[in-house]
Amino acid sequence: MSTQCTRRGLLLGGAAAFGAGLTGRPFGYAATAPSARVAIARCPAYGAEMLPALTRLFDQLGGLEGLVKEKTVAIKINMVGQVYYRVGHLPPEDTYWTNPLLIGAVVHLMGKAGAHRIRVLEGAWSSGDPLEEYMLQANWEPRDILNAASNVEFENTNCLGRGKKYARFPVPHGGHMFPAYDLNHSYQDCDVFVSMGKLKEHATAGVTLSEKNCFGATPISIYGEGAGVDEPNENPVGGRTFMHSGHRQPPKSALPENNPGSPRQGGYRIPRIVADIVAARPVHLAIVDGIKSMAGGEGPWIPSVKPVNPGILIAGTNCVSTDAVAMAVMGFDPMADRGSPPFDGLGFGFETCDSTLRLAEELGVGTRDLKRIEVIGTPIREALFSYAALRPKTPLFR
Amino acid sequence: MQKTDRESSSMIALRWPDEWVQAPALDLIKGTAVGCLLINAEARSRLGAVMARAEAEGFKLADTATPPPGVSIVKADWPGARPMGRPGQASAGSAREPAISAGPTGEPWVDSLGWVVQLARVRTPQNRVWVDAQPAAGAVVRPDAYLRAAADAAANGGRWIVSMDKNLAAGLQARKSDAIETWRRILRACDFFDSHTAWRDYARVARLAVVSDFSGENEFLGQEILNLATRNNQPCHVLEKAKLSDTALRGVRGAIYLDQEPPAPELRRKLLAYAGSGGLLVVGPKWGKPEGTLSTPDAHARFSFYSLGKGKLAVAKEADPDPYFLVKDVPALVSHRYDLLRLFSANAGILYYTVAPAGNAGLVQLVNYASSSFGAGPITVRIAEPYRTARLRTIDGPEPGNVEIASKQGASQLFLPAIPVYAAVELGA
Repeated sequence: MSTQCTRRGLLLGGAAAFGAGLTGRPFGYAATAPSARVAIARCPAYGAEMLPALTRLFDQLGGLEGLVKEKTVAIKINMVGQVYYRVGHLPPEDTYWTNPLLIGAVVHLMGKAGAHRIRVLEGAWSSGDPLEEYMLQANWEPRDILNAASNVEFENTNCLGRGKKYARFPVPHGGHMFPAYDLNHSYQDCDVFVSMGKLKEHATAGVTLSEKNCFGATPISIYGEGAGVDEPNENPVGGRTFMHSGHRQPPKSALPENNPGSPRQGGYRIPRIVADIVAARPVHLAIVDGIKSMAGGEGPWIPSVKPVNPGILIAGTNCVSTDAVAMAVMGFDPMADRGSPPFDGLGFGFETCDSTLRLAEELGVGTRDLKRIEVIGTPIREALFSYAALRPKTPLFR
Repeated sequence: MQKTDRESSSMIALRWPDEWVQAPALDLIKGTAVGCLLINAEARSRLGAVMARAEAEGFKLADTATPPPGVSIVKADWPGARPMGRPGQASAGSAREPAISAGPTGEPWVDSLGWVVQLARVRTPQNRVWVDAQPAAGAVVRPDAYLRAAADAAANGGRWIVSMDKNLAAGLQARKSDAIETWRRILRACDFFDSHTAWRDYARVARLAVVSDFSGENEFLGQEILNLATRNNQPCHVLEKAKLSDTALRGVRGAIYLDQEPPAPELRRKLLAYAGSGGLLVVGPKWGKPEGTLSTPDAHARFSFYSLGKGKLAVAKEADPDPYFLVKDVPALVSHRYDLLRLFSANAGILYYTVAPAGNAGLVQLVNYASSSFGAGPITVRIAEPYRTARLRTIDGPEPGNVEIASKQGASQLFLPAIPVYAAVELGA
């Protein structure tokens, strides 16, 4: 469904409601949104060169010790989609998932920096099984991550897991879409929250980096198709389609949307939900895996995706600023919004969308203005790997 | 005369189309490998002339109620894939040929007749299994779908009874070129499987097993587990409880016994011996008082666990567990570390893995049930066995060719091209 405001729509008298809907709730915290330095490092592969590159990256941010020593760290990784999708014969970690070698290296460095406990988190598609079981199905060896430091644990955050109840995260200022989100206990039982995303475009959200990665923190027991009507469904199945479409509400045990009359469009809803989540569950360290990735979408189910090897790692202590730098590295303007790349339906006919960065900035999470962000390490112009230039010239769906 | 040198059970069987009411229609199949015609009782009265000439021409006549000697006929759904409704439920579908859905949440529902053949082979091991899978009334069947039906039966050691939709039957009668080409492809598929009869003696490999009588009160759950496990590429040994030998569960990591009645003492002894030696035995509340020591209560939403020797007993909390969850739970309880097969980039594909009697060669057959081109890209297969060589064969593709293979930690990954319908990969140690 198109979200563009058409002349016909105006004539039919829906303009006021439509415009108000697309604008959503106004939040005026962009000007005071904080900034933090963002580091970029060249790293062509997941081999021996990665650990020194990561060490340098974290040192440039002030070092890991000050962040994680004697702390419980939660790392949200990215394993979007069903386990059996591949781009060609390439394993998902070389295209659309965060790479387990990178996860292991980060865990190792955090252990070395004195982290007390490290929990690796994901709510993988349609799974209530232990996270390591999902990894095994992808030919991963979870022991490599478990053994990278002491006190490493996994948690599938699609359901209660090892917790007894869900933790409620109110969104500051009331939230764009929901006033609060009920998440797995691991998102609360941590002193430091890390989002480790992939350098990718996204059909519904324009880009998926450290912020959009947090969409997968929502448990499908509550925010998935198989969610209960009154209570969470602890036999979770399916994905998070209703978060895209808004065709139903979460169970009564969770708080409903602020405005059920708002547009039922993924390009409106998903960026707002993501902005809400990173405001409600602040990200202390954002890491974007741009060593190997894919261009043209977030997963192999998007037509015309292609594997790419930008050879870049990006990290920062503010997720919005980190994503702004990542967007610039991808050849996009982080100040862009609906209708402009990459928020233009991937340039080939997907629904246009609002900028998650702008919406998070409005909630006061962080600035996306490169003029206010100190970039250290490899300069953006040297790190540039233009996803924009790889876009198909001909629309697929128009 | 139609060739009659084959045993009836080895013939290609054709379900006689309703549209072919005149005896000259026999000319359409004369000289082909079709040797047996299935004409059901209700049609015989109006097909007297056809039957008389068919017998004179040397065709064998049979119907599903009275199969030829040495043949068991099983009824099965037309194989294919269609979009799933809510998770675990098939969509209503339509009379037309179903297609799979696209998108990350579009897990397709696969109808495969493989488990039906497996069960029939266990029940009547001395017989050839013919599969009676007919296109739905009013369905328009694409040419590839006929090959899929033939492959689905053959990959499980059965033989599909060739059944046409109205279009193909009418097209052949009218001598239309596209119908003739489809017919030739069907016959080539039948020839392909006939030329690899040795594969039928290959033994099925599985890390899971279902023990049941698969009948009466146990029919639905027992058979549905076989159906869904096959679809999840978690092959199961089909073990009839009355015939369970002491060695039947050797090499099995997870065994399921969920019949509505507790096992007889001798069966219970065998199952407990299996669990005590390190296996995971999945039972239900009807099992009776669980043996062993209750461990980590409430560790799982759907099971309670009892330590038993080197293994454990997993007792389902519900008397009639949902088979959709069960077939996902059991491999995870065993641990996916021990998955025998993994299939990537073919979400409507099923793998059938067997090994030669001498154990020196393997065969993995892949049937792709997706009728759309979505995801029609290269496919990767992982087998938890070390192989060094792999050769790919397809029904009507080019000559067999080598497949790139990567071995790591005792497992082999096969890098296959796009497989629209069927492929067999012969594996060498």
